[in-house]
Amino acid sequence: MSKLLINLLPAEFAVYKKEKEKKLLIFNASVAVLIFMIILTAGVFFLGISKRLTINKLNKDLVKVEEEVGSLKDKEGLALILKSRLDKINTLTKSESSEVNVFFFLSSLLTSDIKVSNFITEKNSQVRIIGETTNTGSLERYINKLIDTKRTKGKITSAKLENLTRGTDNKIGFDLLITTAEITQAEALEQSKLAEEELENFERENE
Amino acid sequence: MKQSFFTNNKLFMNKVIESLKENPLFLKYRTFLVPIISFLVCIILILFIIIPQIQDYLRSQSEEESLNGRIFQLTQKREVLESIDTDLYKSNLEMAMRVLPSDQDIPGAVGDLLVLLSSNRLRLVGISFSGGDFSLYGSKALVIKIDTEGDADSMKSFLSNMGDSIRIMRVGRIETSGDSTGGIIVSFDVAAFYDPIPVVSNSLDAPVALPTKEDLEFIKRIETAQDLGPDDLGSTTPLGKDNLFE
Repeated sequence: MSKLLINLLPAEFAVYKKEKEKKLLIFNASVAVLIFMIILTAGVFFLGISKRLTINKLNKDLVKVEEEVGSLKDKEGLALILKSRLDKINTLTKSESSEVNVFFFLSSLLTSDIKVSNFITEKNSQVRIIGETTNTGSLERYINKLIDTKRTKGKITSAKLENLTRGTDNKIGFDLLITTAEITQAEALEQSKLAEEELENFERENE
Repeated sequence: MKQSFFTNNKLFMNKVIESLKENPLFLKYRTFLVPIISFLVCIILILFIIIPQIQDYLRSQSEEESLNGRIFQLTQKREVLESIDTDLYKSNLEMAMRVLPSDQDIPGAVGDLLVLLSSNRLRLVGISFSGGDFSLYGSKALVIKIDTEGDADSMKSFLSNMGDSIRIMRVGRIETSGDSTGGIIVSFDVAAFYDPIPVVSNSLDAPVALPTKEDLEFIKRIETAQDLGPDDLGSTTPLGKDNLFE
C-alpha cells in the first residue's frame, strides 16, 4: 500500500528554500576561493623565501670559489704568459721572408749562361739584378720567362731593362729592375721544381 | 577606562548593525557582500602579492642559474689551475723565451747567427745593428746587418736554414756582389724577433688558456733542436740555377 505524500508547504517556501541554497553555495564558493587564494599566497611567499635562502647560500659559495681562484693567480699568470708567447711564436713561425722567396723564385728562372754579379732587394717589392752574358739569346729567354704570366703565375708585375751594354770582349752587361707580387715559399718551391724539370729535359735532349 | 572604551565600541557596532538591518539596500544585497569582499581580497592578493612574488621568483630563478653557472665555471677554472705543474710551465716558458726572448738579447742573436754562418760556410766580415725598434708581424725585432763572404751554395743554404734557427729570425734585404776571387759578398738584414713580457691581467671569469698539444710538441721540438744544432735539422732549400753567380 503506497503512502500518499502531500506537500502542504506553500509554493513560496520552496522558492525561498531554493534561493537560500543558491546563496549558501555562492557564500561557500567565495569563502573557498578566498581560502585557496590565501593558501596560494602563503605558498608563493614560502617559495620566495626558500629561493632567497638558496641564493644567499650560492653567493657565499661563489665568494669562497672566487677566493680560491684568486689564490691561484700566480699559476694563472704563468699559464697566460706561456700561452701568449707560444701564440706569438706560432704566428712568427708561419711568417715567411718575402725577400728570400723572391730570391729563390727569380734565381730559378735564370738560364745557365747568365752570370749575376749583383742581386739587390729594394723597397716596394723590387729587385735589381745586374749581370752579364755572352749570349743575347739567353738574356732574351730570361726576360721572356720573366714576362710569361703563365709561367710566373702573375707573380712578376714588371721587368724593366734599365741598362744594356756590350763590351769589347763581346760580353753583354744588363741591369734589370723587377717588380714582384707577394711570393710564398710554396710558389718559390714550385718554380724551382719546374726549373729542375726543364734542366733534366734539356740534358736528356742534348744526350 | 579601558573597559569603557570596549563597551563604547561594542555599543557603537551594535548600533551600526541595527541600522544596517533596517537598511533595505543592505537587506537586499547582503548575500553578495561576502563574495564581493572575497573577490576584492583575491584581486588585492593577486595584484599586490602573488604577481610580484612570482616575478621575483622568476628573477631569482635566473639569478640562481647564473650563480650556479659562475660557480661551475670558477670551480672548473680552479681545478685547471690546480692541475698546472708550475715547474714544467716555468721550464717551457724558459724554452719559449729562447725562441722569442723578452728583450733584444743581442749576444744571443749574434751567437745564433754565427753558428748559422759557420754551419753554412759563410765568413762574417762585418756586423752592425740598426738602432730603434722595428715591428714586424706584430712583434718587435732587432735588425742585424751582416756582411759575409762565401759562395752561392752557402748563401742559399744559409737562407734556407735561417728558418731552422732556434731563435726566430727572418732575412730582410739581400744584397749580393761578386768579389775578385770568384766568390761572392752577401749583405743581409736579419730581423731577430723579441717580445717584451706583457702585463698580465685576466678577469676572474675568463677561462685559462692552456698550451695546446701542438704547443707542447713544438716545445719538445725546440728542446731536441737545441741539442742537435742547425746542421742536423731538415732543410727545404728550393732548387734553381746551381750557382747564380757563375
